[in-house]
Amino acid sequence: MIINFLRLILGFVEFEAKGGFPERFLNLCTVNGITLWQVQNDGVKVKACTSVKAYKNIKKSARNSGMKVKIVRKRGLPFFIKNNRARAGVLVGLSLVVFFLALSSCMLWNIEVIGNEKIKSEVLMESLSNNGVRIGVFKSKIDTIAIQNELLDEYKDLSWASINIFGTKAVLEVKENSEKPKMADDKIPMNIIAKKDGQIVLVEAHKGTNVVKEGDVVVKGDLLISGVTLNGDGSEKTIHATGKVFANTLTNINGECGVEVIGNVLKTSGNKYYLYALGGEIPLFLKCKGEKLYKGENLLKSTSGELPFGVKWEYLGEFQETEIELTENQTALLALFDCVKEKREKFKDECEVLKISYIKKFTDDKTQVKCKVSAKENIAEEKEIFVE
Amino acid sequence: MKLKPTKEEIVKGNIELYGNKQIIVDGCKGVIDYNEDYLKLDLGKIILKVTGRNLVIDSYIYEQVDLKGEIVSVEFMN
Repeated sequence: MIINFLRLILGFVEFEAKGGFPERFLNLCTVNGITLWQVQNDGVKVKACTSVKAYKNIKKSARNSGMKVKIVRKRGLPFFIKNNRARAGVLVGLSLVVFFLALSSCMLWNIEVIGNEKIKSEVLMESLSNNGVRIGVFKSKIDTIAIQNELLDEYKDLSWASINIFGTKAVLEVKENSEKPKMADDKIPMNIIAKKDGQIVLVEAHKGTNVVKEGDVVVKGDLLISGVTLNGDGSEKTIHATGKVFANTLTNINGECGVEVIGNVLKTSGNKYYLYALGGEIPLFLKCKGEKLYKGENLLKSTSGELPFGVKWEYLGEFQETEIELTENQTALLALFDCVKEKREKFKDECEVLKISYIKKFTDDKTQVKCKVSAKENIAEEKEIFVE
Repeated sequence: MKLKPTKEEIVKGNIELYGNKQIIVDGCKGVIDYNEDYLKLDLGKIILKVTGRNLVIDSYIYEQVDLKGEIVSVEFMN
């Protein structure tokens, strides 16, 4: 396969030889260092192929064996170029394609980050870009070891980083440090108290004495797990109580929205297009007004992923501050959004929202929404025991 | 009677047969007779005769003959 390809690149001739002694001709060719291939003897003539240079020396072997040689066909790149000298444009185009392919294969086409969980891929990509690893750079200019060390210095959360270049793809593989567990400061004596009103559903006391049990109703500030324990001799000692106490709670959240609001209204808009190739962008516009609102890209795809060729675009727009009068439904919806935002902040960890109900109240100038959130959550809160 | 060939003999007269489609012969001193149906090669002390159909010498270079086609028989003649 490779040999045939090289033969096509270097060029070769198919010839036929008639009369004389074919076997002697073959032997003389070999003795004279003339390489022959695809030799066929049909009894009348011998057909064979040889290189252009060897064919120039074949006449001596043919004469000594009484054969007459004649070229049947000339094949390969040198003959193709010679035959198409008049079509210079095609040859220039072909040469440019070959040059572009050869050049682009020396560049990076894709960058991938794997192994990261805490540090975002975009952040690592940005660092790589700052260190010269970006789409379109020459692979030979990338000092992988220096960049690896740079990344490890920059991000203390990384314990290991390695840049591997596979063909035109660079893969950054990282390992992140595992966080040290927080050591509880158990020297200060603490009680566990309720941070909210509710009905207890589960008590998990890790250290300390349970004061409440399932089904009890507690109000904010009530003692749940005591940090005062009894010794064997009946004396008391204070410890740092730890544990979780889950209770069914009811939380009120209020949201409101005025009828008249000042909002940004989109006045003008347009798209800016760029032709994208190997990290470079060629603008396809003359002048565009407005600030960039969002951007997108349509890249060519192959079986192994996206290629660094395609079209990128930016959506542009200009906002103008305008006073808007809202309908009742719109104000109610915005007030509800306020409630949802507050709810998300209040119910983050260790909680399960069971039910949400709300009521709307419309006045002349605003709309109020009152939400009641029923949830099962951890109401345990540590409070220091002051000992005199 | 000499049974074991010497190392030199093995290197010089190496023959590889791939099914009945290809035969590669090393140590060929010359082609004695050749057409589409048979090929006679001079291996020094012996002559190798390969018969078959549509025989084509795929390459003949540095005492090595690569013959392709439908091989029917391989004979050694003194």
